[in-house]
Amino acid sequence: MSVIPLTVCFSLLLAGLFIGLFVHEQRRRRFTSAEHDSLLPLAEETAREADRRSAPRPHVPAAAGDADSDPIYF
Amino acid sequence: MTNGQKTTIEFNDKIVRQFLLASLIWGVVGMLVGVIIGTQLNFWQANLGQSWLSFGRLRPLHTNAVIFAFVGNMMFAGVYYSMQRLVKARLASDFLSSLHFWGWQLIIVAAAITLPLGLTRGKEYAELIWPINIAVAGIWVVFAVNFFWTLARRHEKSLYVAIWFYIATIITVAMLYIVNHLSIPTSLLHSYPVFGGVQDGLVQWWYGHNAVAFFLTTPILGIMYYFLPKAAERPVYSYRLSVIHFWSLVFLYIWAGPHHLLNTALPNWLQLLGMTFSLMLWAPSWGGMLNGLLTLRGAWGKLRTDPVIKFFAAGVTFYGMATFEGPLLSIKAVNALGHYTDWIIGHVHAGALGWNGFMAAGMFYWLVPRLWKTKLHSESLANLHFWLGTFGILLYVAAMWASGITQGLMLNATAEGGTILKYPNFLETLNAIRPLMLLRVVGGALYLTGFLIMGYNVYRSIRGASAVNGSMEVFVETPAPGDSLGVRGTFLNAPVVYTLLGLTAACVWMFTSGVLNLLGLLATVVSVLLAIGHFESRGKAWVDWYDKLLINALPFTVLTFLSVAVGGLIQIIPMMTIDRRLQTEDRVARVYTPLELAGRDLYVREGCYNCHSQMIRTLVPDVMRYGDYSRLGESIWDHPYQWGSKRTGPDLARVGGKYNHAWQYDHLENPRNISTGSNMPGYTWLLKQDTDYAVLPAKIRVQRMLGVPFPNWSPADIDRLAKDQAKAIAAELKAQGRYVEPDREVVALIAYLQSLGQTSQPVTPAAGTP
Repeated sequence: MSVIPLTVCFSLLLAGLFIGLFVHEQRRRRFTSAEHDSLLPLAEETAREADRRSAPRPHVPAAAGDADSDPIYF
Repeated sequence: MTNGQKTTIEFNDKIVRQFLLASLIWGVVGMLVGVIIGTQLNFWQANLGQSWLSFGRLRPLHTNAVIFAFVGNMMFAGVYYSMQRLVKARLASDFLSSLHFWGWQLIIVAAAITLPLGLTRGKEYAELIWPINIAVAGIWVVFAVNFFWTLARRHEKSLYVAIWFYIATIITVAMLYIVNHLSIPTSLLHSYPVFGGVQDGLVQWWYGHNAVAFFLTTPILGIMYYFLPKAAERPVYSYRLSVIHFWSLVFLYIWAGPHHLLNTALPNWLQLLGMTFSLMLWAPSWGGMLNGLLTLRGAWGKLRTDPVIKFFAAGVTFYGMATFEGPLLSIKAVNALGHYTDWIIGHVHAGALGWNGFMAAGMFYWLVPRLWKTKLHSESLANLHFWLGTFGILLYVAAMWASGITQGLMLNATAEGGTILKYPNFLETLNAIRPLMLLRVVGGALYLTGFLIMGYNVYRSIRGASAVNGSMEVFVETPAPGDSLGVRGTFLNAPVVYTLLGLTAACVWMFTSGVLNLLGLLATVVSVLLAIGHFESRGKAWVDWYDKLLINALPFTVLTFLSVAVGGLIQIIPMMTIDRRLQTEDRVARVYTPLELAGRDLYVREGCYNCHSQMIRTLVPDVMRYGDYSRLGESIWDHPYQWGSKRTGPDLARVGGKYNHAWQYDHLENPRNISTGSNMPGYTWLLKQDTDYAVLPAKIRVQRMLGVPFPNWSPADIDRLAKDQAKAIAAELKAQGRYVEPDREVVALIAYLQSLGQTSQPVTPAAGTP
């Protein structure tokens, strides 16, 4: 019955390989990808009444100089 | 706000609602004017004898209203809605957004007032007078600032394909609009374009064709890439195909303008470039169309039930049809048949009604329930709209195809072994297509009815509903130092270097002869092979660079600008830098007299160029019908040029001296006095209104500034010369039994018409002309 240690061994090797590749992928500097970008239109959103008065305001950028509120990308 | 923190943003959807409703309203206005002028072509009385309702003045209103008011407002609605979501940021400035909206509406109102009054620059789709031009440029800058400011504040690093198309739209339209509207004012309401003759024609169609490309196509493609996946609830078929679609489209489109001037006096190398690049456009256009249609894979079932998908699928199909037909019409031999005929009208309406109109309808039906948190009032009415619209377009386009090809064949037909024209009377060819012209009106009216139904459906949907703004949770991420491409990273990379190498080699191939020409061809082939080899071996470097480019909006914009600018530069700069007195071939027009210039401005005011060309093409039937083919020198002093793009009536390049003054007088008063069956309106107001002599000194001063060799007349000289010539023409008319005051506008217009085709010997720079 040497198949069990063999299976465990290969499973651990595969798991280790996958973890290693995953970590490598996470560490690799990725700017973007076609897969990520193509899904952008499908992002979820919710609707808020446009003319509400008393409801708490969500974050609305005030002006370009409001450097704390938003990143600046060029 | 710290890096990685989650925050909620609320989008500015008020501006989207405003642009959407404005587009609906102006769409109805623009299409209604279209139906009215279509009716006038069948029933000349339909202008009710009013100058401001005449075809020549309303046709520019129709085109401007549909392009800039209907599609413009629709585009702004779509751009603002989608970009906020794609970059995950609220529009940077509510003030700029409002300024954009109200400024644009004010411009449209100004256009709707000035164009029927005959205040025009006399260039197609560029008719608006100079103060409005400045306002358009200013509001476009507001749009650009709002757009790029929002991009700079985005929470999504990577730019989605729709954003690329929006960037190309903003920078290219700005470039085209500014260059083609360069004018020198003669008064608050009038100006002359700085370019004249062939230069004006080239710049005009560089602008005109790319108004189609970058105002009616690229923004709508961006809208397609956002709204089609939304409606189909699946991502775009191939994101990588969209990369090729974008870059090849923006690079190729800009070169195609000269295909509007095929077989004319335009230098042949420009005609060949225009034709070749138009043919190349087949590939990216169809790549984009297929990318759109294949996005519906697995969602075709929705086609039966969802009106939005119906409109989008039909719209993208019409895009494919129109972009197949465009290159086809750009083949010189096909163009010889189709140009100046209704075939072109059918082609542009397949694009405008099918592509723009249906994409707008699909977008509106998708947006309304989401912007007002309601249900669409009636899907049945939306379906009715779809079928009425589809049937209307098909009727319109099929009628125009049949009309154009019929008239083209008749105009080009010869008899007696090719020695005489088979149909020498132009009116015979016009009357042969009258039933088709009537069918066009029916098709257009059906389409308009569908649009009115949509207006009612939208009204019922939003009545009593509350407007809502979208909101989204986003993660704030601070840009990392390594994200920036910089100047070096933007230009020193394989894709850009190989593109430059290939383009340089292709230019050597195109513009040289002999050994250099062969070397250019060889270098082009080698460049392409090297690029393919490098891509195959180092493909990852190309992909990584492009991924990085997508998070660098400024380098992306710079490269896009260079891609669109290069075609225009290569075509236009040689024509601008060469001394125009050397571009005369063997003839050069004499300078107009003051009265002829006044008459020419009346010709422009009445929009005569909408139906009459002044360009006899280098084609045998044209020469047999109208006389010797037109030379570049014959329009050298024309600011603006008046070559025209449609012959609802005959060419006028050599009409001068063909008939006597009485013929012209009678024809202008009521064309049917002379030409039985003509559909040209009568210009009775020209017989009542006085010529404005007082403005002539300012106009001639500006013409001299532009290089037109008018003598250095004093204002008194100009006044005397104009009035003397007017008296002479009035006296001649009197002798022919027509009694008219010399100061009437009709006299000035007759003076101009009788000058057409009057030439003198070529002049050279050494001849001492100013």
